[in-house]
Amino acid sequence: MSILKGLSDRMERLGSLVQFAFKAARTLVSSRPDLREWIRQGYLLGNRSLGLVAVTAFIVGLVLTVQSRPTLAMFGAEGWLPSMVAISIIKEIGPVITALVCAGKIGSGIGAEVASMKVSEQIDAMDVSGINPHAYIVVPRMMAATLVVPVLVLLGDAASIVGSYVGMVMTAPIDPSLFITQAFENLEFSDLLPAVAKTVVFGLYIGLIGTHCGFESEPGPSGVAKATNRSVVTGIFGVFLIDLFFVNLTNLIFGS
Amino acid sequence: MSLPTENNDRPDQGPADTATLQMVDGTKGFGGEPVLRDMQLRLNQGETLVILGRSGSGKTVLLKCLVGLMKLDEGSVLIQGQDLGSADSKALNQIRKKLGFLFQGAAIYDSLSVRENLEFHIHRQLQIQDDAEVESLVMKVLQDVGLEEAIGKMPSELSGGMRKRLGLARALVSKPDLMLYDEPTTGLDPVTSQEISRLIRDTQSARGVASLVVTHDMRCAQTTADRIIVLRDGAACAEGTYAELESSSDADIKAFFS
Ligand SMILES: Nc1ncnc2c1ncn2[C@@H]1O[C@H](COP(=O)(O)OP(=O)(O)OP(=O)(O)O)[C@@H](O)[C@H]1O
Ligand SMILES: [Mg+2]
Repeated sequence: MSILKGLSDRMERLGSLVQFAFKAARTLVSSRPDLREWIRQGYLLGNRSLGLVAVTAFIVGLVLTVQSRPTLAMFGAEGWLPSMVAISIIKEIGPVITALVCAGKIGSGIGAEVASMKVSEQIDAMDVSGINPHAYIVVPRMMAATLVVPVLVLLGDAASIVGSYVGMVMTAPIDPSLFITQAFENLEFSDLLPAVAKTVVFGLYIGLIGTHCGFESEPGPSGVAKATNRSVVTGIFGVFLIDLFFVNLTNLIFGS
Repeated sequence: MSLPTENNDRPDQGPADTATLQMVDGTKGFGGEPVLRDMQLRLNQGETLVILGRSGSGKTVLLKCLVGLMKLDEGSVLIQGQDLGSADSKALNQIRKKLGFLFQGAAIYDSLSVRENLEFHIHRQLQIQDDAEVESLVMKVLQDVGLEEAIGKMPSELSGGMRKRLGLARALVSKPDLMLYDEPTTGLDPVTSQEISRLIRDTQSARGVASLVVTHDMRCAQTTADRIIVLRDGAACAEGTYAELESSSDADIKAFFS
């Protein structure tokens, strides 16, 4: 019984998310883009997340390198290490790790901010005056996240590669330019394009979920807390689903 | 050939076209608990109607249903003859552009300064972009509510009463045809309260704005009301002018006036 109720609750929320997304899309195409506000929001979001993304990505690159070395060494394939690490980072680990960090940091930020606007009736105040809150609250945050997450992923990838280099140097010194050549020699355009494309979708999704959870917030401080929590949890879960979808789509288009 | 007119079936309520705002058989509840029951309300052109009721009697819910922020379970709301329930979002926004609403909690935009809170509505509700014109509107309304010194402040730097006055300024700045005030004087000192009450009165008389005022403040009711409704058990239990209700024999109503 409670499983059924949980399921119907989720379906209801999914329905309202789809409706919400349509309204945001309609607002986006029908109104003049407020680029200054997008960039302002984007700067705020990016600035808040950059440090966390850089440190996390650096550690992941370093650890991945250190952990993979013994296995490759067993097969006498240590020369493949930079290339293998670079491909894993750029195709998969970099985008997903950064998107997860953003789902936490950006998702919670947007979720809490918009939920507190909802709870203090600021969104109602716009509604009741015939001002479309989607135009001033949803679209700028959604577009900011869409623009900023890909940039953060690229910066995160760079931090991971640096981390990987540090991991290499910890065992045996290697010339940086040789490392870079080795790292990128097996990378192809068909690796890069889908990797970047999915980061755009990650960003859009994180912005959309954050604002939607905020808009649906229940009254009171506990409503804000719940909405924040929900935007993070739904955000993280969705990042994995989108990734799964994109991996299959890429394999379908470019062959596995 | 004579066509029956719509107005004939409600002779007691007068012709429908003079009502700025009307609720017919409004029913609303939360989780089985009824808040409004068959509520009837009619606000005429240029009239100020005061709603009295005890805390939790559903005054805020009533106001929110009247502007479509909450949906009635049953019944209908008409603003200038337009049914809110059947209006599409474009028509609804058109209606709402001519409407001012003071929230009980003021609903100030926390990320914007006092000036920006007002400019936001002038730009978007009135569609005025000319800087000089915007500036003069902002200054005028801030003077009206006595908030000129706070023009550059952020909402976090304002007191409760100042927030309330900013909310009031923001509702008034768009020159609405219909104003709804949810407890405009609560949390203000008696002098300011009286100033705000007079401002409500003056706004109504200067531009013929129809106003609905929810309040517990009897001096405010006395200053502003053309007519008063007392809300009890989700419906209007008494109606009349201030003087009429003051001399009522009902104990509950008397309690408001003592
Ligand atoms: N969103 C909501 N969900 C559930 N119940 C609600 C909601 N809003 C109001 N209520 C209930 O409706 C009733 C009326 O509330 P309302 O806020 O209209 O009272 P009020 O007359 O404005 O009181 P006050 O003078 O204290 O502001 C209360 O019992 C309240 O619990
Ligand atoms: Mg109330």
